[in-house]
Amino acid sequence: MEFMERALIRAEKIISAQANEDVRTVVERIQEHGVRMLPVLEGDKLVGIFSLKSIIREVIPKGLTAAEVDGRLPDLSYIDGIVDTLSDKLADVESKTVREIMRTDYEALKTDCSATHVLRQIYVLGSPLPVVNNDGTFLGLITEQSMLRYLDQKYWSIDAKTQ
Amino acid sequence: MHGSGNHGEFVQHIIFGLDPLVVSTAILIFAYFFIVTEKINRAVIALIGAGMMVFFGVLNQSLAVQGIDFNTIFLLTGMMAIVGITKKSGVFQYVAIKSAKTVRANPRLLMVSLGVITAVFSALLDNVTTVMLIVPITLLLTEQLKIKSYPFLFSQIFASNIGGMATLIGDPPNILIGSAVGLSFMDFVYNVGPAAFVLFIVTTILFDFMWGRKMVASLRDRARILSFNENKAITDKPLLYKSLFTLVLVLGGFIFGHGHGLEPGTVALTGAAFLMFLDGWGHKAEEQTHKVHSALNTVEWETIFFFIGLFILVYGVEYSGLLSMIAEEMISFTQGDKQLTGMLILWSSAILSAIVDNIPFVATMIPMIKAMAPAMGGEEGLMPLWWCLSLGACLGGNGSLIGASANVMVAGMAERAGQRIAFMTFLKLAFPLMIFTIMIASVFAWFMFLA
Repeated sequence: MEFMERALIRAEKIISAQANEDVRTVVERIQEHGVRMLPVLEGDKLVGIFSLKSIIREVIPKGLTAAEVDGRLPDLSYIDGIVDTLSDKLADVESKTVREIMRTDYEALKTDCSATHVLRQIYVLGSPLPVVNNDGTFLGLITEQSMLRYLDQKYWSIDAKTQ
Repeated sequence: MHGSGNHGEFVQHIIFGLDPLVVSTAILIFAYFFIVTEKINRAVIALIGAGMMVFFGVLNQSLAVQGIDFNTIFLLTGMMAIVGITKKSGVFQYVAIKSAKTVRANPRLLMVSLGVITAVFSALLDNVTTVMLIVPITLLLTEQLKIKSYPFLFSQIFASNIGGMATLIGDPPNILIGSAVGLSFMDFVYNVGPAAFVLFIVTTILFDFMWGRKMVASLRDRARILSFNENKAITDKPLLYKSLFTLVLVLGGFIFGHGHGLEPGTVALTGAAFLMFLDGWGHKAEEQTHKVHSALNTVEWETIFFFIGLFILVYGVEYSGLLSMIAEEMISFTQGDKQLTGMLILWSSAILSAIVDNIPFVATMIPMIKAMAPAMGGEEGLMPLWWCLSLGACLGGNGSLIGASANVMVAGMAERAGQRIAFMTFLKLAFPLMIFTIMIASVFAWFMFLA
């Protein structure tokens, strides 16, 4: 599909993590490359998404994240007094494997999806979005930038044809 | 409002000329099968069953509407909206943290104090909302104290079902019974309230013996809880005052309105409208609309429509004469003996409520018990049976993890927090304990109502 070929940032250009790596190593990789999230792979199959938010989720007391409704967390300002103790938890989290804290409730795009569907998904879920083929092999990512670049190229190609 | 159909007005014309009794019973069994097995959403199947009652000619349109107990529907909707607005103020977190600090984060006393809060809130609000607000704080506190949360969650399930039993609005079975029989808020407080109080004390002592006395937390961990700032939990002070003011008015309405012909449903729904008015006061029209939408979104519409469908379903079998037939069978089995009938209702409702949802069970039992009036010496003679039904259905909810909606909510939140409560582990202790509470309730019912 022409759209997918142009908008997709291919897997070989993407920094990723393997599910059995430890969190500390992967966090260093995130910081080194200045990215927000990494697709987590097992071989070449996509199995999860890892971001710094995954760590934040682990640091906040579990009881309070259990009260999350539709992605909204209750007010936490009353536990300000224990913020310094949360650093203990950070140390625990860093020694875990990526598999233990990665997000598995992500939505992956298939290669046959339309440009409007991807626009909608970026609007609703944010960017970047992973793309997989039918057997779950990770093909790459579509980001806000790659989508806008695609639309921009589309505009110029139409413009060139009409002139 | 419920179940007072004039049987002379509507002649049932059943599809293919079948017997209305057979058709209505078949629809009820069909619907209850799916409600009990949870294969289909309970609200959907109840509404489908209700529709079948009308489409197959068991009831006509106006009878179906007549079967709906709008007092119950309004009471549930009104209270859900009031609690939905109130909880945004952070008052529940405030109370829980305040109590934890009051007992200096001593784990043994903390389990008791959180149990008391759960029981009191469950008596005044609905149980599901109560546990939804208390469980996250409990998980937070136990995590900080580095102690197991299971004893706390277990005791809170018991506290919510026992506390809910104490008032008219505390538990859905009581709402159903109170509305159908015309009982007041204080009728429940006087008649089943003492049993709830005694059972709460007994179970609290038991939980303390089993778990509380062995709980230890380090001073450092306890100090961490003392550094919580409960005042910061109050996120909206004006809303807190408005909510508390409305809640006091509504409770006053429940207590004093009964004598002046005010049904609880009217009080609750008017209270909800009043609180929405206060909440929107001084805001622009769009903001007011947004606030009202958000308040109405907190109403569990699935539960409301489940009740609506259920009322029509039960009215269908009642109208066809099935329930009075079963009631006659029951009377002939017990030979009209009040004690035996009372005990039969108490124990069967407890056991069944532990296994299946107690709401459809109680909704079906109500017209059946009403039909026993002639054999039991009229309306007054039925009173002990209503209290037995309330005691059995509310306490039975403690018997298993699926016995009451609050239990399911606690289990769900614990699982999300990585502290799964296993069904069988809970059952092994909860069921015998529930039987124990029913034994105490039986003694109470015997001396208070049946002897």
